[in-house]
Amino acid sequence: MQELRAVPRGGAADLLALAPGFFLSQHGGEGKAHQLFLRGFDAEHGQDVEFTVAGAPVNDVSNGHGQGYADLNFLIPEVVDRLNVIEGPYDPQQGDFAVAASARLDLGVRERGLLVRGQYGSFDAMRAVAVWAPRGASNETFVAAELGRSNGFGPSRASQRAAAIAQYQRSFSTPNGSVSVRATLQSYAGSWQSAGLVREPDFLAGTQGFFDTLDPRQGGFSARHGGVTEVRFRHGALEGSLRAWVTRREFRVRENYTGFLLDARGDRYEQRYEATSFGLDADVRQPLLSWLTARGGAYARHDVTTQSMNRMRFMDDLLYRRDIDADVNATDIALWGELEARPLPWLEIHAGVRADGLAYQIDDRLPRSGSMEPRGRRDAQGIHVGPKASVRARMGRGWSAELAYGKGFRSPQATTLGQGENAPFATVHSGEGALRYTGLRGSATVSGFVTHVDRDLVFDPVLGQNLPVVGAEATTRFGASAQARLAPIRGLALLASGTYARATFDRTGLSVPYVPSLVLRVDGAFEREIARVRNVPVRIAVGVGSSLVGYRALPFSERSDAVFLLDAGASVRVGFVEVGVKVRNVFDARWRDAQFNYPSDWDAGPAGSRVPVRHFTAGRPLSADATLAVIL
Amino acid sequence: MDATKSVTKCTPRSKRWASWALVATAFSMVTAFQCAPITTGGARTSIRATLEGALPVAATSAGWSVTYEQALLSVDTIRWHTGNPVYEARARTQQRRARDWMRYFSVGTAYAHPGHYTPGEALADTAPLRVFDLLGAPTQLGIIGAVTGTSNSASLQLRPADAARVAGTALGANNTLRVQGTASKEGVTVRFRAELPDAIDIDGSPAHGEITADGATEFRVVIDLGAWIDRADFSTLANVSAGSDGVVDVPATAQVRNALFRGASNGAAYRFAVRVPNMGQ
Repeated sequence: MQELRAVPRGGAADLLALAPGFFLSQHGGEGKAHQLFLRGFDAEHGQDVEFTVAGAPVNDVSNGHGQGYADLNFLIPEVVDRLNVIEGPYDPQQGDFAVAASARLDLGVRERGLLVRGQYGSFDAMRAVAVWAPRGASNETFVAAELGRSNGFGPSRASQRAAAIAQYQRSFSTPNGSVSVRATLQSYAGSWQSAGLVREPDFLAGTQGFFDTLDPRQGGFSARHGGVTEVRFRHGALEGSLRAWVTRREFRVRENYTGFLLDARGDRYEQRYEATSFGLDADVRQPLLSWLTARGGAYARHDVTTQSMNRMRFMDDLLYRRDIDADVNATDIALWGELEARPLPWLEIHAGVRADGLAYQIDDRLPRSGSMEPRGRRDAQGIHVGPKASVRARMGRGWSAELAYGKGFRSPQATTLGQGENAPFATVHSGEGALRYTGLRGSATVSGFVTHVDRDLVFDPVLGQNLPVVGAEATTRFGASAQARLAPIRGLALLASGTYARATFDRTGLSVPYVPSLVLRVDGAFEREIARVRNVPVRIAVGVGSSLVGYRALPFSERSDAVFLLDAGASVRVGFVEVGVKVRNVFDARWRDAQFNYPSDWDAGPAGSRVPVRHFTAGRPLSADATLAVIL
Repeated sequence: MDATKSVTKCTPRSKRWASWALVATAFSMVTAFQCAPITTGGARTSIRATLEGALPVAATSAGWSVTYEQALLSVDTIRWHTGNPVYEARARTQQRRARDWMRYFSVGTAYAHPGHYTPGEALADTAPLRVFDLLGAPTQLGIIGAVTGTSNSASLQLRPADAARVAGTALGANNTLRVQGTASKEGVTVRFRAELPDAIDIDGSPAHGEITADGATEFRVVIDLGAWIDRADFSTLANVSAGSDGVVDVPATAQVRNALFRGASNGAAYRFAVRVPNMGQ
């Protein structure tokens, strides 16, 4: 990842595009969590991808806007050191939301010292970041802060953000090993306006511009504050770690997909979510025999949440209807274990299992039908057991083959649970075969996979979130993926990947909508010292990143356009000063970030058409930013 | 799956294999991408529809024989839905139960009212329309944007027409419908003229038909002019003076006007029949 840092990216979340098959959309405004597409999944804002940052989980439990909502905007890109993506649910350490993949981001700063960077660019976008990484301390010790704002690339797209992350890490030697202690503190607040969607017929008729908005009162606010402590230890052959974390989340979003379709007062909804989450996570690794090692761990998480959903009057935001008003307490306790066997020098076998027990208490304040009395408390509980196994064979000359199977799960949206209900998990069975080649100057992987989900979710514009498709929830995905990493000369790094996935409903054989079949990504960066002027090193960095996203299936057997985007950046560093420029969407492609087919009515007066039409959100046009950095 | 990190000697032969494997994978992916069909269910299509009036074929329930000289109607939107018609959902349930012998040993469900109409998804709808002459030939509504599916019910919005919309017609501005005709009963003849300014929503009329992807589906919307005035008692106009043209303008408080409003609001006055051209229906 460090070799490709010269490739321009919008934020830390865009680093996910380095993993094969990831495509990120940000149609809800700069500040809202990205929508994720991966291996035939529309993971919405994180429902099918488990995220951890510095060891703390990121996915929101039972967020009314989207189960597993994962907002990575609190990350400061300069302090993201490593990204580890496990595609598929094959590791017993993977828990809730690891349906399509898990992504673990570790924080650290390799270049020690003080970095102060200012950035200004298109649409009056400004960003200032300062990172202090004391020399002599470990790479995991730093303090960073970031402030940013932008007017956005059209009406109702302004955003602001402020973030701070501090981390301290120290290692100690012990008589039989070592102990490492780490503490991470983080605080973030961001707000954004959202232009929402444009009706394609109105755009084609010329009554609405490509970047226009139909409802200028859309937007949101997101805050995250928290801390993680971690102790890693090695005692002889025994290794392990223990983490404790606490997070406070505040989230509010206002969106309007349907105009006045549902109510003449306006369909804009406000969704609020507040949560205090805390948990523990421990794992150990102990060799049992020369060829057999045991791994195991425990995980506990508790979330205390409050959530609501209200409908707002179009003209003045007056709340006129309440659809959700509930407190949800959720607990997830898990145990997992795995045996790693190497019975032959070239053969490696992993077999493990993970068991999760999830419990929910719901205090529903909405009135019962025909009564003023609240619906009251409900509780539900469920247990999920997921076996995992993989076999890896080294075939010599850098080649290896691997087969893997895993059963994972996604927890249910708690507000949908009934009293005493056995919490209905979405269960995923996934299998994969891969062939890898690793050489001196690069590596390559080709793989095929099949994934079955018994309760899948599809986007519903009325509620602005993914919901079950009644009677056709089960889906299957077949796909293939390839990735090649190459470092042909010193300073040059190339990474190319492509993923094709076909997702269909089991009962009907129809395609799962909104999911891109093909995602191709190429990143290239060259970074090297090219000269010395009066003994001062001159270093250049050039980076290019391009994405090709194939069509996405849309309802009514339609397809969206394919998208090709190219970003480029360059910087020159002389001594302690670095100047750079980055350009996104170099060809200024007019692209539609998200496309939907559904009915809407934006005329508050006489009812308009209610037949589904194409809607889209405008993708980011050509934009350029200049940066000036001082590194001391 | 995590990548293996082992590093081994790289030979030209293994490089070639890796290259060929990657090229073959890329080729197969692109081929599959090009060939994969898009089938998310349904398709965007269109339907055609005609709107016409049906003259009374018998005397009204009050015994009046009515002939029309004028029948004008301002229609805003006609919409086809997947939801069952308002009375039909219950009727289907009862049909199913009729086949169930257990019903003889159980107490049936009592219905206080026909229930609420649930329109479901909209399959097709018209743009704001215009004023229709229901005594003329069937009016083509043109090509109507639609999506495929099974239509079960339809709704009409009858709305007062503004001055622009009534231009060139006899319908007065801000009126929804206008009728003029002659009612006869037992030797008594009344020439009448009535206009309604009310907005009327007709929801949940039966409109069964399959909207197909080929755009061949055609609906015939028939408005039963007999049903409009079925409850009218024209004898109540006996004390109202006729105008210079010999026609009685129905007062706003007259029973005839009230009956006309109820008749025009009655969903049974609106029939939707699907016509499949090849079937000759």
